[in-house]
Amino acid sequence: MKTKFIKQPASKKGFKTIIWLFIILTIVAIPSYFSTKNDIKTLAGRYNSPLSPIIMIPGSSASATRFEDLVGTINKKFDEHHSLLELTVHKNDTITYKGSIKNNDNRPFIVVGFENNKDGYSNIKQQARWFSIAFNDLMSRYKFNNFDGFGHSNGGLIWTYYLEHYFDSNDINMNRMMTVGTPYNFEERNQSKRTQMLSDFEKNKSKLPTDLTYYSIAGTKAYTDDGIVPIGSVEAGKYIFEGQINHYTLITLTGKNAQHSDMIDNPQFISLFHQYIINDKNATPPNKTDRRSVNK
Amino acid sequence: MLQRTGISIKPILIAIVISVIISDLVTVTFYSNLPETIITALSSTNPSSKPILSLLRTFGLGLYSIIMSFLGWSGPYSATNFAYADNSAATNLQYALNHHTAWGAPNLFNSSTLYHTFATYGGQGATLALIIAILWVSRDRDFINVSRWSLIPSIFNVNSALMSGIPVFFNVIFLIPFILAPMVNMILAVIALQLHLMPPAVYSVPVGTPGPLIAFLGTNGSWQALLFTIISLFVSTIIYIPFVKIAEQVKLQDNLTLEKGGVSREN
Repeated sequence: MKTKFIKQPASKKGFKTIIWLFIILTIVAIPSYFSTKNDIKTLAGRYNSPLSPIIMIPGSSASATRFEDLVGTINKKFDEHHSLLELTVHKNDTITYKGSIKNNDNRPFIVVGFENNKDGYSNIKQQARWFSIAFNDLMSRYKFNNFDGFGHSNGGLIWTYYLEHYFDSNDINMNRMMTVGTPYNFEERNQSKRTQMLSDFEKNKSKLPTDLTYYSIAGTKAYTDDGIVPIGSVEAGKYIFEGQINHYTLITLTGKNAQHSDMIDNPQFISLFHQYIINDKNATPPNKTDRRSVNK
Repeated sequence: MLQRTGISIKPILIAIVISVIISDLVTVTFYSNLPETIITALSSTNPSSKPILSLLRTFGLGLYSIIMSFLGWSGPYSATNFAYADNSAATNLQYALNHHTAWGAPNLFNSSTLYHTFATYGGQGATLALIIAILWVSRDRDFINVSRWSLIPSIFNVNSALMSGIPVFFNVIFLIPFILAPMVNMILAVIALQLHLMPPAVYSVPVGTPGPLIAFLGTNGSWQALLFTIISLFVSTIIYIPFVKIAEQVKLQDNLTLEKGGVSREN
């Protein structure tokens, strides 16, 4: 039996199959050629990098490692695997990177901390400039075109100063921002007494991105403050954001762990953060036209 | 018929069951993403933008992936998914979307322009060329049947049937062409790209795009790339042909001994 097959020119069968192979390839090629052309046209229109990081700024006297526990808790609680990248901007404008962004992670956390992390208006201006250096470096490194922002305490002030003085919404889109215990009027309880910073913020508010959605969280115990920041000072943010940006929401957290520094461990806060920031549906819409091309 | 497969099916089944148990144990712990993290870190952290370094990197990781799949395992590059493409692929895509052409994209030598496009016809090891080589020159009934049966999945870059059916796994005869064919394809592609004879494949193609069409579709329908694919598929086939003949001879010897052994047992 065997020898019979060896002698027989089996290639006849083989050649037929090779011809079939090329027929199948051609049949597959024609429709995929047109659908690829079409896909690339859509893609070029959307021109979207899938990366949409969540950029976080810690409060005064905290370093870039401030949110490690928060990220760990979120990854565990929601069974997600967000990567964490920590940047520290030094006094001489140089940047130190720690951690990395996993390639298939479209929602990584990027924390920007500062070597000089002192309190006070002049320091916040400095830190906003340092943040803009870090931000530009991130943009050229990772090529994202939209992001969400988070600031704890004075981190929110740095965000606001940065948005008013350095941010260019033609280049990049800020989808949502969330801050916790951000004192827009510093320690001032009385909103009629405005600090220099608050009136500066108000003066430049027209430069804030108009399509921004912002959630400001205030913590209180005994109706007045979160232990450090008076609720009136957080609430004063309305003079800056109301009517200027797309949506401005003030959320008041009370109960256990609503103190200024504990708030980011608060389970209520973590679910708000997950709901509004991580699950932000505006971040890299898969089938939506890019807003940037509409603007231009 | 297909004695080798018949003999190997039992150990394969046992190995699969054991590895399923082990991988389940790994998955139920929190470290389920550890292997992936390591592979990702290896293949995509801080890729260099220097052409020569990215060239070496693609060839190194490609070679590793090919050897690993020869051993039945997998490396960072896979024929059926593009998850570990590095940042330079994104840079290329951005360039192409900006300029509305793939010509002149900055990174010519990354995993998607070389490995995924030209080294995986029919799966790891360019095994579609092996199928063509067998159908072309082989007269062995088993070889031809296995090749015909695994033709359809191989068109879509799934070569498992061929790998265990011929078999190619751990088959020293096929080790050389299995490495050589994709590597030669990549070297030819480097030359063609460097001389600007064809544009690099920068657009992403759907998973399972037939290997010989990846370059054509990934360049948004460049005829030069399609022509190059046909040439390199032909070259790979030529590389495989002598080894198919050797394998046939070896199999013939094997069968003869097997038959003799059978006879002596009967006696």
